[in-house]
Amino acid sequence: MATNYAIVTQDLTKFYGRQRGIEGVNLRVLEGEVLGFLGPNGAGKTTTLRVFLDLLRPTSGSARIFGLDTQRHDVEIKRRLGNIPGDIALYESLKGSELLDLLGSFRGRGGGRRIKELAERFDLDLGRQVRAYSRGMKQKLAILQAFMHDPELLLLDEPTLGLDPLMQREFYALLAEEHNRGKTVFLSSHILSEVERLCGRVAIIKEGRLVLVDEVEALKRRKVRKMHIHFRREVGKEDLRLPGAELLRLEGQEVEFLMKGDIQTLLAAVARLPVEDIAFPEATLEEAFLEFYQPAPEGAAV
Amino acid sequence: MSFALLRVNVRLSQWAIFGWIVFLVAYALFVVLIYPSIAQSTGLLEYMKSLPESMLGSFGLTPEIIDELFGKEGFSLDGWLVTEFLNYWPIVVGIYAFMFGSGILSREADRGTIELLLSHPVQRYTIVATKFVALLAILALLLVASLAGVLLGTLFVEGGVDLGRMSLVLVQAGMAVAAIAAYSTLVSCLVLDPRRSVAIVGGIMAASFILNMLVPALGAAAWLGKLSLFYYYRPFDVVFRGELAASSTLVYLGVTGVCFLAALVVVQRRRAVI
Ligand SMILES: Nc1ncnc2c1ncn2[C@@H]1O[C@H](COP(=O)(O)OP(=O)(O)OP(=O)(O)O)[C@@H](O)[C@H]1O
Ligand SMILES: [Mg+2]
Repeated sequence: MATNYAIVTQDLTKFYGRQRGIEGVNLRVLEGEVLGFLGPNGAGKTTTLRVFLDLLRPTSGSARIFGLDTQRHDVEIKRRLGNIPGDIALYESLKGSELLDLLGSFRGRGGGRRIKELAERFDLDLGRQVRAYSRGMKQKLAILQAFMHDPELLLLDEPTLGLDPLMQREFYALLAEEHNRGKTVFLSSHILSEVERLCGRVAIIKEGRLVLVDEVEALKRRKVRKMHIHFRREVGKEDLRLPGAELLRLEGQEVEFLMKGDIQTLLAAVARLPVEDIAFPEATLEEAFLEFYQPAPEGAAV
Repeated sequence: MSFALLRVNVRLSQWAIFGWIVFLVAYALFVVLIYPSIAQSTGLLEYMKSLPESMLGSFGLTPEIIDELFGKEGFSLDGWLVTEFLNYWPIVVGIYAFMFGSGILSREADRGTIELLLSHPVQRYTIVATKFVALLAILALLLVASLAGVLLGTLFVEGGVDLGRMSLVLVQAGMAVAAIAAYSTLVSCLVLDPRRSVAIVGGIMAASFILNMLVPALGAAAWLGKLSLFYYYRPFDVVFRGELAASSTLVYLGVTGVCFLAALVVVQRRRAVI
């Protein structure tokens, strides 16, 4: 079976005058996958999404969605996608339902039942003026307008911003359902646990350039792991010089190591010590990723 | 064109529209109702006749028109209405047109609402075209309200108005304002910062107005006045002759059409709309 891509970018570059937005981005999003799009503030995530929507045209390079060029076929593409913008701006003096009617009108009629379902699910009163909505309610309205027409592709720029924990969970459940129904999700987020839970793969962008695209599991495996040991009694520092492990922390009977080398020789060395308990906390995406959020060292190539 | 977007835009402006209707009706009423008190006075007429011809010319007046329009015994109601109300209509309603027009794209871009609209399958030009049509519809409403104000006033004073000719003047005034609306829309698509686009359009409008006023003083450079949209607004002429000058109609419709189409091309080709 040939692999199908929902999104393919080719050397995608966008400069705002002389200010770099993104540069030379080559990204392939598989049909049906949930791809996390991560990166520090100002890395170029929103810029990338705005190019996808033809709100911005690339300085050079191109992007194809469903095999169609974003500049020439933007309307056709938008028929099949839903978008939650990073900075949501709504018409304040309309009611929630009126705003959805307006946006729905661009897609022809229909979607009424799904809107009702989603509004109930997210507990949003569509009869009130947007002006009277709280931050989280506005975010819910943005979710509704992105999902109401049951699109094939979802472009989400920090979609859970302002949602309370319960609603965040509801949103994750919705995304998981959509994923199971074969929808493609492009999720830009700063919440690493959210990405870890939802995404199969992640792409990391930094200073406008894509620095990594990989599976979440592979990333976690690649990460050096830690080992916690609780000793029966206090152990001297000289006894803790173990092969293939670097001492991170020593507090009384509690010790933390960074595991680097061969685990077999390490365990053999540990066995000689008065161990009460031993634990290998699972590496989180957070630990695996945080290094990408550090500013690049002076003069270093990214 | 999107009817849903048209409806929403009219609705979003409903309070402004209401305010303008009240203002225009009150203005027209006021002018008509004070008519009886000046109808007998010949002082104003004497004053007008004493103005140099070049100056009268800048209003589109000749001694001949003055005699015909205002009568020899003082102002006719038609003449009074044109002088005090219709003469200023395009500049007054033009303010509304340029405030609305100069924000058609730029305000959506500045607030970010354009991103919401363009997340859905709609052409950029559809948004601009629809909002422009919404503006024209609102202007038509203001035109009707003005005429209604005049009619309302005539219920209370002696001597009626020539409704046909007054309407004709308003048609020319409406075309002038449509042209203002169209170039404001064009600027709005060219300059996405709403503060700058409103300043540019307002500046052009003020300059045009002043330029037209200055025509008599310009001497050999009087042709410069033709650059002003207000130059082609000739309410006295229209009332006097009972018909629209083809040249004015041509200029107004031409400017409206060209600026409108240019705005659509500009918005479609812009590299960024946010
Ligand atoms: N309209 C603009 N004009 C000039 N520069 C811009 C504009 N929009 C974004 N930029 C710049 O482009 C770069 C990428 O910005 P972008 O908004 O895409 O970042 P982001 O990854 O979405 O960040 P965040 O996580 O803060 O949302 C930044 O350096 C930003 O300053
Ligand atoms: Mg962003």
